[in-house]
Amino acid sequence: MERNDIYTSLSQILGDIIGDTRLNLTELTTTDDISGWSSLVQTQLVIEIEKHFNCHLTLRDIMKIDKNISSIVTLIENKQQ
Amino acid sequence: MDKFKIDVLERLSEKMAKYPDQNCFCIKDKYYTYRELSILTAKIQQEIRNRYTETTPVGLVNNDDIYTYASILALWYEGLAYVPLHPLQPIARCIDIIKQVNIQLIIDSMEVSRYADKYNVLYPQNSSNADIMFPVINNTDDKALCYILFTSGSTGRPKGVQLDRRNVSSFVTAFENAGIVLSHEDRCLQCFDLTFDVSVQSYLMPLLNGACVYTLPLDCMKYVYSAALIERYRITFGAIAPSMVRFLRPYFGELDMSSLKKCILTAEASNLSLVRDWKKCARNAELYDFYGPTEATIYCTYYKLPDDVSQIKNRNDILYIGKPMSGIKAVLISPDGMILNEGIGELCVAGEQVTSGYWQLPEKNKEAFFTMTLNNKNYRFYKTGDLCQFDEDGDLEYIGRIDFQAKVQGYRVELGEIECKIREFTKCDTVVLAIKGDNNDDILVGFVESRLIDEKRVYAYLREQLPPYMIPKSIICLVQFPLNNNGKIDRKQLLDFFRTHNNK
Repeated sequence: MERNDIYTSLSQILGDIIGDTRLNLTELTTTDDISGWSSLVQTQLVIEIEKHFNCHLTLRDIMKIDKNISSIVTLIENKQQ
Repeated sequence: MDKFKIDVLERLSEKMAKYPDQNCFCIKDKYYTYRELSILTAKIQQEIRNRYTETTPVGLVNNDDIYTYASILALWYEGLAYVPLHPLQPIARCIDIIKQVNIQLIIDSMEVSRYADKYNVLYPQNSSNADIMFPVINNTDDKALCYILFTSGSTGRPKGVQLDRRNVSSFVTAFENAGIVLSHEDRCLQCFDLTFDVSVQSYLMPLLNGACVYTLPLDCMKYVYSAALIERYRITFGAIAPSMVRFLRPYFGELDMSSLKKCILTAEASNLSLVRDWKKCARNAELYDFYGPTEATIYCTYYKLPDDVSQIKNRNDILYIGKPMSGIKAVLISPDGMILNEGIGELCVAGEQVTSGYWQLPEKNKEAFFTMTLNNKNYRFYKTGDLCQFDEDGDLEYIGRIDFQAKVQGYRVELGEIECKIREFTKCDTVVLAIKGDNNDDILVGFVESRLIDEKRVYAYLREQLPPYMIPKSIICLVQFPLNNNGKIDRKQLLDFFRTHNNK
C-alpha cells in the first residue's frame, strides 16, 4: 500500500472516530490540527488501525507515535513490509 | 497548630538544602534539581507576595512544567491555596470554578494565558530576577487551605472540596505509617492530572523524601507513557489506576517492570484477575490497594496485598480496601444512620484528614457530614457513599457505590456480583449498570469490553449462576470502555451509549 493510500484510509478511520467526514490528513498534519483529538481518540485509533490494516501494534510501536500524524503512517508502512 | 509547617514545609526546605544537586523532577525528559526548584519556588513566592495581598485561593493552570509545580510550593510557603484549572477542560467550566471561589489571581505558565483578557494573571516563568535561594515560610496556621479540588456535582455544577494544611499533614503521617517510606534514591511516577487528588500524593511524598518525580504530559495515552517512563527511567514507585493496568495487560509480555519496588492501585476498584497478572509483570513490586474519597484527603484505607496471590482477599473478584489508615476512624451505618456492628453498611470516615466541607455549600455539607459521640469522643464523619463490610480481621470488603445498588422486582441487587459472573465467563472486563425503567424498577445492562462475545452462551451461563431477576436485559460489547479524566471507567458515557443504542 502506498503512503498516500495509507493517509486516505487513516483519514477515514480517524474521521469516523471523531465524527469529521471531511478530515484530510497529510504529511504536515499534527494532532494539534485535529479538532477533538484526545488520548481516548488515540487509544481507539490504535484499535481501529490494527483491525483495518490487519496488524498488531506492540506497546513499543505505540510509544513511537508522536504529535505528527506521519509517525503513525510510517508505523503502518513498516508493519506492512 | 503548625504541623504542616514542620511536617511539610520545613521538611521540604530541608530536602532542598540537603540535596541541591539531586534531581527532583523529570518533565518531558528534562531534569530539574532541588536547587533549581528551590530558587524557582522562592522567586515565584516573592512575585506572589509583590502582586497579591488577599487570602482567597489562587487559580493555577495545571500545565505539565516545572513552573506549575514550583507555583504550588510557592503558594504553600506563602500560606495560600491553589485551585487547579485544567488547560484542556472547557473554559466555561473553569470560569464557573473561578467564580465559585471568587479567584482574584491566576497563575498560568502558558506564553499567553487564555484568562489574560479578563483576569489578573501571573506568569511564573517571568518571575523576579532577585538573588534568592530558598522560599520562606510565611504562614503557620494549620487551618489555612492547601487546595480546593472540584469534583462533578450531582446537580450538574462542579462542587469544591477544600483541604486544609491539617488535612494534608495528617495524610503525610498516615501514608508513611502505612509502610510507604520513600528515600532520596527513589524515582517516582506522577501520572495524574493536578485536578485529581492522587496527584498530590504522587508529587508531594517524593519531594518530602528527596526523591525524583517523573511526570506525564497532559492528555497523552497515560498507560503507554507511564509504561515508557517506568522502563526508560527505571521507576521504583508509583500510584496508578487499575484501568491503566487493564490497557497494559495485552502488552505485559513485552514490558520490563522489574524496577518497580512499590506500586499503589487506586482511584477505582481493582479486580483480582487483573492484579494477579500485574503481580507477575511487576514481579519485584509490593502491591497496595489504596482507597479514599477526595473529602478524606487522597486515601483513608489501604490493603497491602500478600505475596501469595491465592491469599488476596476479594469479594466478587473485587479487592478488599483493607484497614483504615492511622488517625482514621471508620464505621458502617445503616440507611437510617445507625452504626452497624456487622453486615453491609455505608462507610463513614472521621479524623484529621476529613475536609472541613464543600466550598460554600452549607446544604450539601449538612447531607454529607454528621457528628457522633463514640466512647465519649466526638467524631465528625463523612459519608462516603460506598458500601462495605468488615471481615473478621477488621479488613473492609468493598461492595460498591450505594448508587450502584439496584432494585429489581423488589430484590436488592449487587451489580458487582453480576459483573463478576460475566467476567468469569467472558474473561473480559465488565460493567453492569442499573438504569431506571418504568414503575421505578431498575433495568440491568451489561457492558463487556470485547469486539464480540457469544451472547447466547453468556446468557446460558448467567442463567445457571444467577436468579432470573439478576440477568441483564441487554449485554453490549464495546471495543474500549470510555475513561474519564481521572483514568476511571466513565459510567455516564456508558449510560449515554446505552440510551443512544436503545433509541436506534
